Amino acid sequence: MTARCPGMTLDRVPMLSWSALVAAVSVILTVPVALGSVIYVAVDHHFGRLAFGGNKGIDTWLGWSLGHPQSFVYALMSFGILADIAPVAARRRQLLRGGMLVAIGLVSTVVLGTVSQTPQVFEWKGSASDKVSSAIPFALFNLLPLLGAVVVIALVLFTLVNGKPRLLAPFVPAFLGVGMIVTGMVGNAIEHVSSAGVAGTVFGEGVSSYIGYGAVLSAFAGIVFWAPKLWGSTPPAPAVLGVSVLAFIGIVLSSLPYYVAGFADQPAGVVGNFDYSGPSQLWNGASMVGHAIVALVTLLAFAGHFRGRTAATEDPYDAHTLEWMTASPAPAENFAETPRVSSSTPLLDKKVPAESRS
Amino acid sequence: MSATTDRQLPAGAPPAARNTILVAAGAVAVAGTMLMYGMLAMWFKFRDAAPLRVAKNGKMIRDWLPADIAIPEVATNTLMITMVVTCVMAQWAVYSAKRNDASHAGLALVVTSMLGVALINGQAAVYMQMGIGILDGPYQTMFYAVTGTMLFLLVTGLAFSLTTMFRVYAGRVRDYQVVSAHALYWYFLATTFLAMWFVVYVQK
Repeated sequence: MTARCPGMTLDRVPMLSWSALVAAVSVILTVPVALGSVIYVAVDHHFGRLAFGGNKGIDTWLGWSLGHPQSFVYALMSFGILADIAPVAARRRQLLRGGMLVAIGLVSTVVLGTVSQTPQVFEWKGSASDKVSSAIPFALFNLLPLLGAVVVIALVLFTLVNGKPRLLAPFVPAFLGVGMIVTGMVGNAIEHVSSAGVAGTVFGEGVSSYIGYGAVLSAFAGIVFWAPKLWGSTPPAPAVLGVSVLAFIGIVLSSLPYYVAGFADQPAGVVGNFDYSGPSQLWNGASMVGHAIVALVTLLAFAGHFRGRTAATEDPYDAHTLEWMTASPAPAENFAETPRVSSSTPLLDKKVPAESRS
Repeated sequence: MSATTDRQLPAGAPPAARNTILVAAGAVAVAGTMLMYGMLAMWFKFRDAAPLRVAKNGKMIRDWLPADIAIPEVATNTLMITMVVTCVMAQWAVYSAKRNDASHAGLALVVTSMLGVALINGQAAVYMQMGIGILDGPYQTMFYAVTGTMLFLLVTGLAFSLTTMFRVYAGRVRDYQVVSAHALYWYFLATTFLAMWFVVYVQK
């Protein structure tokens, strides 16, 4: 907020920075509420266990802070990573950039629901008034963030369709990662519809896997994309694509079986002796294989194997934004003189003559 | 070190004052507000879940505050009034610092610090007068959790006041951004204390 260069108004900041700001505000609004619950539960746990149920109360009162939809907040920067990479892959300016800023902000509306620490469940029963009073909070706290995520993807596709798209390696994990997160957000909405009957089943674990692993894949995309500025080399595209596809397979394998098993009423939180006639070993086995693949891919990616050995130029992706106007890796203080910017894409402004700008 | 000449942007003006401490104090104030309001929301939840009982005046009330516990209203109301006065003193420090008046800014911060000590002492007096144990029941546990958290925040406010006071007496009175952030912090403490005072000590 306080370290922007001259001319860098909030509507001109890169999407990653915008999403980081939105995520930071969301964390400031929600994590202290969780801290308040921690204080109550810790005091109660230490002195008598009279109000919050001892050990069992920990999940009851704090589970929301690490579950969904609160996990949307932790995954919020994934949307900024995708929104920053997509115009570079499309080789054109982001269309409806203001809409993209609003869409990322919309995802953060989830905090209004999570701080209430109450699942906003939609129940189709009772009078019309009952249905409406159930539908409104459900829509506000589950569908509105999902709408923001869908708009982000729609604007990315819109920009790609109207540009001259190319296969940019970091775009693949960024798009797949956000795709996984949105699949998790859809699952979260389904989980909060009572007639779907998946509450309390392993369906929720599938939602958590989709969102958590999707965020990790997006983080990988961000590290790969900005690798030239971090350590001065561009990771090899085939390796990035291979890791991304393998991670995608692992995420789907780890999460989708739980969606299926959830509809077959496999209960959550137990490992055996539950009343379930479906092929539980198949779903649980497939999920375990998926988790193993994700673990393997994560180890490969973060072991530094794909850092690449060829030195990167200052602008290896033919990018648009300010960070690509300095050397790779970025030197201390980034620029010899603090630059003045007059648009969100100062580098593209230099490359494209004013008369041919779209 | 820098970009090639054809990609260089014009140099901007020298960086203006960034108000980092003021923004940080604002962020802490928002986080602290959410912390206390979240705890008060859980207080409401437990109070509303308590069973009904007949009060001394014959009305039906929630059996939340145990009948043998009396809130010392004089002490708690004094705490609230002291909070308001503390904010006035903190704002006086800002007024003086902006005019480079080190003596009055320092005096205001000394008084703010003393009031901070008085607030902590007052909260301790409330505990002494109530004489309840944390193990006595759910109400007592939650009472100590929520008021103890507020007490911790008051201690941080006192530490902020002392730090600001030492800075001013060390000659940094022109750097009034810290004094402004200090006042903002005390406004935050006062508003959260107001909410806690009303819920815990007035509504009970």
